[in-house]
Amino acid sequence: MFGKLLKHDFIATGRIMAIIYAIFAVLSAYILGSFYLGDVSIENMGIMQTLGIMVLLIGSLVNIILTFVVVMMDFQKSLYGDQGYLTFTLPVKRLAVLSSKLIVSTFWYLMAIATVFGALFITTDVIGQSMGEEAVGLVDMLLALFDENLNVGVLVFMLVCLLINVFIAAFLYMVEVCFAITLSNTRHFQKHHVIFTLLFSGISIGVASKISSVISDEIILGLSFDPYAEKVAFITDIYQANISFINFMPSVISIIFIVGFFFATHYTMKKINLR
Amino acid sequence: MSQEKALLQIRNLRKSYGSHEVLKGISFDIPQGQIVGLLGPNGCGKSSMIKSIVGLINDYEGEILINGQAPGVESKKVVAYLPERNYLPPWMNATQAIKYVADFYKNFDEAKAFAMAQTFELNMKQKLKTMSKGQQEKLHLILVMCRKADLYVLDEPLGGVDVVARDFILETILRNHAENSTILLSTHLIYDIEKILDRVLMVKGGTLAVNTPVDKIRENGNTVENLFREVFSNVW
Repeated sequence: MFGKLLKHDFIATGRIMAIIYAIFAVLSAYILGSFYLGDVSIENMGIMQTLGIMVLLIGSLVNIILTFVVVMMDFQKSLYGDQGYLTFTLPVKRLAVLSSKLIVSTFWYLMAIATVFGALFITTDVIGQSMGEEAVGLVDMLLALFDENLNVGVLVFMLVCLLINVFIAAFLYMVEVCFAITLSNTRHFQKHHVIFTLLFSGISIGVASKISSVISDEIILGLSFDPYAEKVAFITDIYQANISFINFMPSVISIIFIVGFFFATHYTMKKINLR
Repeated sequence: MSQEKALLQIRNLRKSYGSHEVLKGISFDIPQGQIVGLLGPNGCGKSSMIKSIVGLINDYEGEILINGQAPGVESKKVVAYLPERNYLPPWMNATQAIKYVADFYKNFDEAKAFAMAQTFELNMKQKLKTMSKGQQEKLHLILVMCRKADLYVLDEPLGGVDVVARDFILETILRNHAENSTILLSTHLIYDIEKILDRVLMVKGGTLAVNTPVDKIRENGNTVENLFREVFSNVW
């Protein structure tokens, strides 16, 4: 049943998101095609290419907000609007309903973040390609910072750690807002649930991030990454760090908050009487 | 009634919204295979009772048992609920709605649903938001009545439609409900349903004012509509 919930949640949100990503795909193809297949370069770029790059960059940023609005509106409508009469009478546990919504929301949110990096990559790629030798020189200069002793495994591991941190942060963000939406649909706040959603979101995110930053400043639970070293080192003191390090303490605290907000949301869901 | 198997058992059901108590300790049993009318004016607690039975309200006091189980995942498998509103996403069309319900309920007869949709002349590609109220009602009926449920809970299925549509809806319910199933039907339109009811429950001010078989009302030379008038004469 959980798979079916996921499928239908992806369908419900995906019908809008698919249009947005189709537009991004066409735009990216047009820009890349113009620069790589046509004779467009940074010097003779036309109004269409300039507009295309601007729309891609600004659009990818706007997409983060749009994605957020789409997934959260779906959460509100399908659980606490009229559609809640369908969702909550399905033979599935509330825990499954909530989990499915959170997974789908986080997926689209991460997609939106990835799209920003994609847009930046395409922009720098086409501009770099057009810059010709200058760009190549710049890349060579960056690569020269490292030599043959560079440990690619360590770099990949560091990247994976960063991605895990991003995933945890995104998931926490979604749980916090879902909790805020759920709380704002309880009897006392239901009448002005939009205002209370914004208020509770701000409080949840603000309080959680403040607690996280205070604890993370005091307690270091990290990995030190030296791209030349054989392996990464576990550190508990910032002075032990090498070239770069990742402090996992914020992620550890985030996981605790995720669990807390998740079960608080689940508990609050049971108290809601649909209008 | 004690010899008949009770499909739905409600014991001392209480529900409050803040300090306002809408259900004040209601108890009754509904046997299997009966059509039961749940009658009462607006605000008497009918909807709260129905929502508690179908699992939409959880913070009630007392006990609700459907086939011996409290409202939850298992009871939802055997309860088919028709709310008084359009509960489907407006972007869905009839095909998507049927597929959706078929995905979650094993007792949903998908082939029958498509056949009924054809009989009802529904455009399968038309989105809910562009359907007329009558078309939406038809689709909702299909989704509920194509389930082989033990208990059908129908909240105001006749509300807001003309007399011809009311006959059509009642006929659809009677023809399509599963054999030996129970129907709990909430309505204001007593005259329309009187002839099909086996039992009536009348809720007044959060308490159960009447719980009696319709045959018994008739034996006393009365009608459900007249009894309703007698019970609720002082409400207005």
